[in-house]
Amino acid sequence: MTKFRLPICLNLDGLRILFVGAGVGTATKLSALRGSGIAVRIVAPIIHDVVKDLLHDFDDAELLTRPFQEADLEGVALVYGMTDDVSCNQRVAELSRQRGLWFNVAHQRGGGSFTSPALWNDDTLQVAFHSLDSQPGTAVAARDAYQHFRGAL
Amino acid sequence: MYMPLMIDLRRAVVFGGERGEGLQKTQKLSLFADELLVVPEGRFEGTAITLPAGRLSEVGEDLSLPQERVVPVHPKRAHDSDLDSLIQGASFVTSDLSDRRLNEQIASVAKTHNVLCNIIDTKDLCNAWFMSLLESPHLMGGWSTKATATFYVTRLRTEIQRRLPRWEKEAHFTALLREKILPQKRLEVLRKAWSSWRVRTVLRWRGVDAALRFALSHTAKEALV
Repeated sequence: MTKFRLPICLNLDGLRILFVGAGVGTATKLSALRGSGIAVRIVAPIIHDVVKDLLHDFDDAELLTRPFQEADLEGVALVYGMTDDVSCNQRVAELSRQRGLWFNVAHQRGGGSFTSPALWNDDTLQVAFHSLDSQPGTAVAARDAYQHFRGAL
Repeated sequence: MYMPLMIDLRRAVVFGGERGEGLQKTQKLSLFADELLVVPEGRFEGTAITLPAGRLSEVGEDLSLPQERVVPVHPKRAHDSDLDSLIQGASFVTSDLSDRRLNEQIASVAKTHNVLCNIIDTKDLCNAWFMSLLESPHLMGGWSTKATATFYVTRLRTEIQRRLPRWEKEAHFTALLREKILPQKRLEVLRKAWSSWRVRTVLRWRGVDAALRFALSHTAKEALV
């Protein structure tokens, strides 16, 4: 039997998201969260300039320029392991799992305890598309079709 | 800040999941959770709820259970149970209990253990909301008004349901075509393919495979991976 993931809407008020790694993947996620009021913590020895720029749009952003440590998981609700180092991402995943934190790691499609759907957003409505065949492109194209539909309304 | 996520449900607990809206959530979660437990509000005869394969009877969405599922029912009522031991280790709890104080305790224990919590119709005790769902062979869609207008999203879902098969076909075609094109040529070729009435006609009447063959031979010859 195919195991589906449950689409759920999470209230992140008062919670913090941890990003381990500060490259292009983290920048993409941060872009989607800009201006949302969410608190973030970024941990990486090297911080991509784009990430530095994006952090200006966050009222509560902690930037830790060093390798990941277990203590970085304190006080966070969601964890993204976004480094190029597979073993580091695996460690982040394992420690998050032990603490019952929701986590998502790069280079391991579907390996985390959550995934991010293709999203469409406005003031009142959120729409999430997820591919059941592990083909994110299908979800993104469906989201674009929905966007077109909304534009035609 | 509301953020939709697709979560991997290992263990879910439904308080008051034996009847009414609670049963609806039990049915819905039976599609997603590895382990599912119902903790009844009142006296319950038996030890389990059997959900037959097929369309989920209490759920508004058009969702089907591929095979029969037997959901165990906790032997004690929620009021007499040790909430901590029931909630610890779960990924998600939901409650349809009428006792506000008990719901507050459930939300508090869930928070302690980092467990997502949805207390039905009690927004201030929730940190997670169900989305209105649409499922098709290749896609799962979730709609939410961020817990503000459930009726509206139900109406919208009905409207979308009619359109989803076509979107899915178009999305599937786009994703397959994209994979076969060199990255630097993708945008150009996808635009060209979608602006071709012939490609769209083949997709509509002859399906994804035929449209893919047609698009590759007519619009993407020099851009293939």
